[in-house]
Formats: sequence, C-alpha cells, structure tokens
Amino acid sequence: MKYRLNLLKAIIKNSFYQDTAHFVNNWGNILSVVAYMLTNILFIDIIYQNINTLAGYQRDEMLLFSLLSQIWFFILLGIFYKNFEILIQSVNNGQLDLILSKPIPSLFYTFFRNLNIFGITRDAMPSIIILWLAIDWSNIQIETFSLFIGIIILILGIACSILFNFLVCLPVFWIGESLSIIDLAFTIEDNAGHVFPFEGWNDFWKVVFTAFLPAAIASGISTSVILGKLPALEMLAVSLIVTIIFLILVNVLWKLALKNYTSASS
Amino acid sequence: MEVVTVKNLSKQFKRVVKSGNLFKDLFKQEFVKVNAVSDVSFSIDKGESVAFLGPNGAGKTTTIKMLTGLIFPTSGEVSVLGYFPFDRKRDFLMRIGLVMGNKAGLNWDLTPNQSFELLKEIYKIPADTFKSRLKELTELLDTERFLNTQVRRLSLGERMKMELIGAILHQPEILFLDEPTIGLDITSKKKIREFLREIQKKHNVTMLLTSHDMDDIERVCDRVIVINKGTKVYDDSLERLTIKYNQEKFVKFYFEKLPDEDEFKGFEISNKNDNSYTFKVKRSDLPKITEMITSKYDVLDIDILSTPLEEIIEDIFKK
Repeated sequence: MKYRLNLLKAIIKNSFYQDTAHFVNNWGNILSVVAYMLTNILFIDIIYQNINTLAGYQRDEMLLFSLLSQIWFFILLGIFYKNFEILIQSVNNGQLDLILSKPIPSLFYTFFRNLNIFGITRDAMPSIIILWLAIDWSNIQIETFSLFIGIIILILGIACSILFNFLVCLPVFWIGESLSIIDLAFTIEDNAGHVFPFEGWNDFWKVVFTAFLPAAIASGISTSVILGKLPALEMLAVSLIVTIIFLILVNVLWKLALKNYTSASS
Repeated sequence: MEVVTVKNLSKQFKRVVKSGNLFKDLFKQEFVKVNAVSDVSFSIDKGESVAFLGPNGAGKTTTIKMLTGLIFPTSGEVSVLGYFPFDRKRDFLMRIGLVMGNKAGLNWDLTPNQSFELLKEIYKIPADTFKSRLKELTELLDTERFLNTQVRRLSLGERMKMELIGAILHQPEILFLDEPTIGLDITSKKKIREFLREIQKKHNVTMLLTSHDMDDIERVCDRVIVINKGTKVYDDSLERLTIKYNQEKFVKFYFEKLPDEDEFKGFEISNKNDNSYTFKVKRSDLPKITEMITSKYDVLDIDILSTPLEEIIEDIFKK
C-alpha cells in the first residue's frame, strides 16, 4: 500500500510536469470550459422559461444534476479516458512492453499512469464554481443523510463508469486498435446517464443503465438520492453491488487480456 | 549458476489474413497460425553475454519477450532467475532490465531527470544510491549535460544512451537488449558497446542482446545463439564459431600496377578494386600463395582478414 501511495505521488508529480510542458494549453482549456458552462446554463434557463419541471426536476434541481455530471465528466475524461486511450494505443504499437517489464502493478499503473490533478483542478474549478453560483440553493430541499449517501453513490458511480470504460478497451488485446469503441462507449454513457435525469427513463432502461451499462449511477441516481426522490440505503446497496461486480470483472478480464497480449513487431 | 533455462519453448501467433474482399474481411475474418518460436532450448549462466542472431522474423524478439514475461508461451518451460516470467512477480521484475531500440521508454515531453525520478520510485532506489548511480552512468556515457533537456530535443544517440541509463539505474542482474544500437552513428555505437562491456564486467550483469550489427556481437557478446524460422540452429561461443570458420582467410593484395584478372585463374577472387584484389584462400595455402604473388608482382601492402562474421552467420542461416 505504501509503495502504491509513493508511486501515486511520483505519478502526480510527473503528470504535472507533462501538463505544464505546453503553456498555451492551460489558458485554452480554461476558456473553453467557461464558454461551455455558460452556454449550458443558458440552454437550461431557456428551457425552463417554457416549463416548470422536466422529468420531475425543477431548474435548480436540474442544475444540481448538471453539477454532479460535470464532476463525473472531469474525473472520467480528464484523467482516466486519456489513460485508456494510451492503453489502446500502447497495446497496438507494443509500447505496453515498457510497462509490463517494470515492477509496478500493471493494472494499477494503467488506470493511474497520468494523474493530472493540476489539469483537472484548472479545468473543473471554473465549471463547478459557475454551476454552484447558478444554483439557487434555497429552492432545493436537501437532508444531510441523503447528501452524505448521495456523495458516496456519486463516488461509486464514477468508479463504475471508469471500470466500464476500461472493460470496453480490453477487446484491443484480441482485435487490435479500437479507439472508436471507447468513443462510442463514452457517448452512450454520456447520453444515458448525464443528459437526462434518472426519472426520465422507463423501468427497463433504468435497470440497463444501472446494472449493465452503469451510466446512471454517478449523476442520475446520486442526484435523485440527494433530492430525496429515491431511497438512499437501497440505492447505496445497488451501487455497491454493481461496483463490486465490475471490479471483479476488470481483474479477471485483465489477466485474460494479458495472456492474449502479443506485443508488436520490432 | 544458471539464470535462464528454456526447454522446448514455443510460441504460436494467430495472424489475420486479408482476402482482399471488403465485405468478407468486414464480416468474417480468416486466420493463419504462425510458429514464431518452435521448440527452442538453451540455458544461460550468470554473467554471460549472449547474442541472439537471426534474420528478420526469425523469432529472436519473441524469445526475449517470453523471457521477460511480456508474452505468454504457447508451450514449453521457461525460467529466469527461478521465476516463470509471465507471472511478473515484482521481485523478478526488480531484477531485470529491458531496452528496446525501437521503443521510447522515456517520456517525450519531460527531461531524463524527471523520468528517472519516477523510475527511482518504481524501483525503490534509495536516494543516495540513485544519485551516485546516476552520476556513475552519466559519466560513463558522457551524458550529464543532457539530464535536464527534454527528451524530444535529444538526438537519437543521446536518447538511446538515456534509455540505457533508465534501464540499468536499478542495477538489474539480467539485461535484455533488443537492437539497442539501431539507427545510431558509429561514435554512439562504440560508446554504448564499451558501456555495456564495462557494466557487464564490473557488475557481473548477464546480458541477452539481439542485433543485426555484427560489431555489436563481436564487441559485446561471448556466445551466440542463432535462430532461424523459429528454431535454434547454432549455440556456442563466439570464439569457437570464428575458429570453425577460420580455416579460410581473405587476403587482400595492394598492387603498384593492378594485374589482369586472367593472371589469377585458379584463384577465388572475392573482391576487386582499382588497386587491389582480395582472394579467398585456405589457411594452409596462405604462405604459398603470398610468396607466389609477392615474387611475381609489385605488392605495396597485404591485409589478411578472417571470414567476416556476417558471412559466417549468413552461412549458418542457409543451413
């Protein structure tokens, strides 16, 4: 454990060097994030000028849903998605050799090889601050217990999402480069779990997007629990079981994938 | 003491065959099995420096990848330092190093120092040891001044030296090198070869090297394993290999005035230049032929050469 923590510290330092290696990237990212968020809030405001609720969500509840979606987005896309793209490319071009030949837990390193805390903070903070300020918190009723459970479900949901996206990468060990699969998985997940609230789906899709394609846990279910629309402990149990199942799947399939790894020609 | 033991090692790959028919290739892929390594056996003792030779596609790199645990063997046994490499136990990986000439291990946007800091954590190298080791290695390779230059700004030779340093910072017991001098200039190659010999002798590092450069083999390795079409065709010391082929010599005569080729009927001419002929002769005939030519012609100089290693290896490939 201590070794992994030390390794994480070194990775964070290394990622910081990488992210700040190109100066203009920093400002470009901040500006694009701010522009996107302002446009997003404007869009929601325009919709709510004509309606009172959407899938049972008022304006500020919808913004809360957006806030949790943004947290999901920045963690998945900002950190792990990039690492998974690198995984796919490195399997295809044989660069994975240089990871597998080192005494590091390969699965752990694949997930965390770039841990760009600085970059994520730089990009996420403006977005989250803007959303936070846009929400009229006096319009939302939140109980402390539901908030606490909701945050745990958010964390579990993000974990499920990361694990799911990782599983989607693994076919590369058998069929070759598959960057488009991970793009497709992300698009489906984004639309399934982070555009509409959980209540917007019928029962069939609720089950699919909770248990099989766990897109709804991070934002949809967590928001519903925080707002008291879903029972907290039951949803926590469901989220935990799904996360454990995906964790087991990842470990088993990773070992199988490595057995199938053929590297690349020299 | 054996550190590498390989028995009947084989590796088969499945390769996709494109039929040329777009619809067929989209919906039903066909595969063919390729025997990359077939029933190879050998063992290597601690401190040995062994070259893997063979034509392209012979199975050299595949063998090395099985020895380092990168790919899973199809059949056979392999043991490196008492471990099954594919288990990738941390203790095993701490004791080996891998350099691949055509793959960049160091981060392109970072300086070598920054990458080495990460390696220090990965290999749990104590700070003092790290500092002294880095100093020793950079002095040997004359690369101290590049430690804080981004890798992408280094020349190929400088980058390769840094890759080597990265691979042996943790003092591995076995070093696997896959074409470490590929694409390098003569000076860089010479430096790297000297470096490898130095660390091998100083730290008793076992080395396994693949290369197409015969000078790499001659200057770094003591033993040669030749692999062709996935099977081992030769395994012995470099010295015995050259002795076996030393029954023939190449004699190059430099003439004041180059005689006509017809005057050397009965001789096997291997090369001709504006002022010289090179003859391939039996070792036992060397004195007689030298006396005959020097007495008849104005000879400016004579070079006596052994059969080039390239020719020896080429001959083995043909068998």
